[in-house]
Amino acid sequence: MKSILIVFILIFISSCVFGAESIKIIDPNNGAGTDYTSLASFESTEQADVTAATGSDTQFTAKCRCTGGTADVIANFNGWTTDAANYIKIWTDPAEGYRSTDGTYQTGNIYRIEGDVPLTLQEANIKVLGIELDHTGATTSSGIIYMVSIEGGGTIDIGYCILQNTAGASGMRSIFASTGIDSATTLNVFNTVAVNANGYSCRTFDTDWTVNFYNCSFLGGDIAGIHQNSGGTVNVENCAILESADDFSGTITITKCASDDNDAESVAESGGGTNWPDDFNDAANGDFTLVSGSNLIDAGTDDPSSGLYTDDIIGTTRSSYDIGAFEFDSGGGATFIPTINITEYRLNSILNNLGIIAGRN
Amino acid sequence: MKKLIIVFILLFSTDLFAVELLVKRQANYTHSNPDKDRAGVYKRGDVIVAMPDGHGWGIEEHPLTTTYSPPRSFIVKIPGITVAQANKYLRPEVDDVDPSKIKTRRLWKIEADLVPQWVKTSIATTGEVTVTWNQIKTFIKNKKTGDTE
Repeated sequence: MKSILIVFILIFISSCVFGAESIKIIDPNNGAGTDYTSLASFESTEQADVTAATGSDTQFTAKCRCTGGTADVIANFNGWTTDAANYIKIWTDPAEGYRSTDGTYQTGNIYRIEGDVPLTLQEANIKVLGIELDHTGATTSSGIIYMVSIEGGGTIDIGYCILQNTAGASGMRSIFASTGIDSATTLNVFNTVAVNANGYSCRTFDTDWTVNFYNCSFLGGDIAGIHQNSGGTVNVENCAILESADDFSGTITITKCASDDNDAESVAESGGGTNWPDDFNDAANGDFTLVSGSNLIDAGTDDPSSGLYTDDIIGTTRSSYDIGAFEFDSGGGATFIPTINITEYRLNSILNNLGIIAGRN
Repeated sequence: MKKLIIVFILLFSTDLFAVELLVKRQANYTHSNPDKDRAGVYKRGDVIVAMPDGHGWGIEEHPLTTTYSPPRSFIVKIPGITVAQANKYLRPEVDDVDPSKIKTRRLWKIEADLVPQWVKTSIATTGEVTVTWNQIKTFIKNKKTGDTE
């Protein structure tokens, strides 16, 4: 009885302090309860001045599912009015099973966006969490996540994402910050994997803003790994950047990272060799899980982002932070266990919001 | 031989495929920055997405099931047009000097106010309309040049 009372009190406090989410279900296969069959139509139909919302709708969440194996089409977020407290969240719920279970790019009923420049962000105050993106189009020299003309400042969080360029289009950037981005904007990329960008894993281009990379694994930028073209502040921490023509290019603050061209690395790969076979199980195929004995284990900074995340790309709790998107799990798998029951899940969510416990993004 | 002819007819029959366009019914709001409003906010008649014939639309997409009143979109079905062909209407108008800069969210629009009354009636009552390419093409307008298809 006492615990039920506590739950009700916490729900009340949570509602008062944080408002509520407006959650819409995105499912390209139009499974039961689907609000939108594409992220693009969510973006168009829900487009609003979110800051003007009164009452309960302060956070617009696109909860993404894939019930029949179909990939979503490209989307571009633009024309909204947001702020730090009233933001957009594009998200797969790890408890629902539509997010990659092993941190590699998966098809089947895993939600993913495939197309020509899969996701364009022209807004700050967006979180992109647990999404797979594949550039399958003919466009060159753009981005798999492409950011351009962002006014007003704010924060963009990209986490638990998997990016690839199967089209092999040249000059592509897995994450591309182009021109016209307000200097008050901060981009945080964490627990994210990018494979074979066929250009750059990330490129910030003439943008005077702040970009932070934490615990990412980027392979195969054939022009560069992380490239700061000009302007802005770029920080990279706990990341593994490998098999790029130039792992770090430009003015970048590098902290506890591993690379293979002796480019300000603090941790050397274990034993060398293409795709670091003594560190990763199968990096060439996007599997960046760590091999027992890797130099990358426990080699990172603990909690480098001050609480932005406390687990790895598949939900394994981080303790002594490793380098890269995966935390070494001697047990051989993710420790995340799906929701036990709705009451406990709700309670966890509330406690997470209140900062009492750390939850999963 | 007969089978070959049938296959040939099936392959080239334009009635075999169609596109379904989700079209913006009206702008949700006006952005405070006029440039941002033009570049980002969907306007009446803008095509949002193009899906193949028979696409199952979500609750908030179809005018008959949406919780929004009035509905924020409607559906135009065009036999004989493929999704790939219709993707042309999803393109933005970009700056002539800097193509990375979007000037208008959509270069093309469907002139929803000028279509024949029977089209308006169908949209108003069922949320969708099926039109031939010849019936709709003169109402698909390039915002930059003012030309229609």
